[in-house]
Amino acid sequence: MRVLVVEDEVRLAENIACGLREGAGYAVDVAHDGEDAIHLCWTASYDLVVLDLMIPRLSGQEVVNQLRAARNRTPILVLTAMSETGKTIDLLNLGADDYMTKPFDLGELIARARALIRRGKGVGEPLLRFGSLNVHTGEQSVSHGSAKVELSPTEYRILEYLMFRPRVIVSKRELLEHLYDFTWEHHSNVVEAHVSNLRKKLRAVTDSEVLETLRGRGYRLVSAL
Amino acid sequence: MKGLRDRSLIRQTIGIVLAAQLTCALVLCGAALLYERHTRLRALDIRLQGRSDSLLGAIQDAEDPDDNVVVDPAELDLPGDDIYAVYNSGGRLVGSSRDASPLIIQRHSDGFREMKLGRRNYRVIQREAMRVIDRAENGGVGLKRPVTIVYASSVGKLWHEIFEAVRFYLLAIAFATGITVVAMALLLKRALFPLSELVAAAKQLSPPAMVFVAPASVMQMRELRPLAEVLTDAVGRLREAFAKEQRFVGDAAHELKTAIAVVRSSVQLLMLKPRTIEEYAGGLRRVLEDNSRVETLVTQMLQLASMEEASCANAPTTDLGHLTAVALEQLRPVAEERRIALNFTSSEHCKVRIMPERSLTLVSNLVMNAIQHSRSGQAVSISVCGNGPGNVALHVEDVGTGIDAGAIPHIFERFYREDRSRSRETGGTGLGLSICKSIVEAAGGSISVKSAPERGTRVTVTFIAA
Repeated sequence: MRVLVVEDEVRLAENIACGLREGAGYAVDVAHDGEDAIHLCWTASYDLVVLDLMIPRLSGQEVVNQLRAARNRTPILVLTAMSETGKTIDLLNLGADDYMTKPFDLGELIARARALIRRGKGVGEPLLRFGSLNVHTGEQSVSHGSAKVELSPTEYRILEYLMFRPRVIVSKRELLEHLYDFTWEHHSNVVEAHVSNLRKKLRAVTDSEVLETLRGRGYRLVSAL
Repeated sequence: MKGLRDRSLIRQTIGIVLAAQLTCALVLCGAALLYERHTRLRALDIRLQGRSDSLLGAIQDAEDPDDNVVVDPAELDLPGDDIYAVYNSGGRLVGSSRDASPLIIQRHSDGFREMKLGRRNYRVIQREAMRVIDRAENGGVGLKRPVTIVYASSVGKLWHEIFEAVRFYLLAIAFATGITVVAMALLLKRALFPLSELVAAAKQLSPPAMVFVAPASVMQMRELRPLAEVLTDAVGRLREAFAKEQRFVGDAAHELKTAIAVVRSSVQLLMLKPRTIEEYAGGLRRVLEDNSRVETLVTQMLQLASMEEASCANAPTTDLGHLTAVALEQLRPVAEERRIALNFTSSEHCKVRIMPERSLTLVSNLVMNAIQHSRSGQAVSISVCGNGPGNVALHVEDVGTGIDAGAIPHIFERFYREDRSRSRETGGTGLGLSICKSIVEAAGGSISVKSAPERGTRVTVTFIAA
């Protein structure tokens, strides 16, 4: 999953980005003002935007307006120091999906980010199921039946992304876009290597080919009977 | 309102009108009394004259050799308590009323006079008269008998009548006064209705809304219009001040909450998963840095608040050049770390009236700003000198990044930052220049900024020399 954090307070932006990377395993990009945020939203596809309201150049409210006007449906979590509930109600009406007031709890922010991403993909509960495969997004663990499947962080992120879209072909490019932020050096063969390792581990626990590779098109989770 | 006498406009006005009315009534009564007395006295005098004429008519020849005259009471029809006496030309009393007091009938000079007998007052007339008798017997000429008549009548009744007449006036006045009081109370209450409306409008004045709409009835009243206008004006200014305060509180809350959010998230990030000793140490260092930002913010906010409550009225005379040098010594390590030179020049005897600690804050805020907006290797020039007659100027000049023309009018606003994201990296709070402005203005000086992007900024502070 890839998240954009828009916050003008540099240290706070750093902390939120680190928290989302370490706590939820997301790829995170940071913008310090509204114009950068809009620009990044056009160039990359995000699964969530964490947006401070009082940012320079273009206010948080403007950012929400522009994204929604352009039919961008990325979930938006608003951060605000304002205590007036009127403003936050306006914002939710405008198209923001959730809000938190500063000072917030980093753990809660991560939990809400997870929930928003899940709901943005049409999934209601934190436990993703596909066949006999279970992915716990909260604790970032995978199990097959009662057996635990040990995955590396990147393998987990690939599986989690695919679990949100089972039976759908996900291109390598899409995987790259959603799993790596701009700070990463991404090479397509890195993804291939991780996918190959993941496939082997899944084959070992399920005794079947769960993760399919369609040459030149991408990857797909198929139902294990 | 304890200790204050409760006074009422209505009661006061009624009191004034009553006093005027009573004065009028008293004058009127006095005049009536005098006039009544005058006319009644005149009537009495005429009556006395008439009665003495009757008395004259009752004088008869005594038919004796001395040619005396006598008074024949049988022919008289006079009030019983009147006193009279008739003297002949020889001065002999020829007749008098019964029990006539000798004191009253004693002769003085002709004319009217007042006499007192016991507790009664008498009006007395004394006149010389000629009684012609036996006109028929003496060929129509008759015998002339000169007499002196003294006739007295009690005036006790007269005064009684006068008071009787004036009592009518008094009653009429008392009645009119009663009606006036009631009518005035009612009319004044109506006339003063705009005042109650003004009170009702003023009652709407409470801090969050601060709305005051002068009622139309008040604006129509010439005496109340200035009050309503002053109130409207004052409320407008109060509302502005309140809005400004609220904006400040809102901004302050945002800054504080953000600063606290940074500290909290730094700690929570550190606790997110088990880390190495080195990671913990680095994290703690960052938490400490974040915390010092909160400290700076709180310190500066408190500084600003104290600036607004304390005046500089009794500030001591201090040498601005010396204090600037002291402030620069404290800043030198920071400047050296960033490889920025501080050039300081000062002329002698630049005395101004300012609290020393405030001037230290002023200089260090201005110079820190200059350092933060300078690049490594550049220099910041600070000078203190006399500036025209009676003025002392402090210049702080850098050749750094400068300020956009559009931002210059706002840089003294609290929490204003020219470019938030960039300034936040430099650790600014957006309060430094507001504090400088407060310090300078409290000391009766002025502060101005000239700047061009990429060419530098020059801040000039002018004080009145002490």
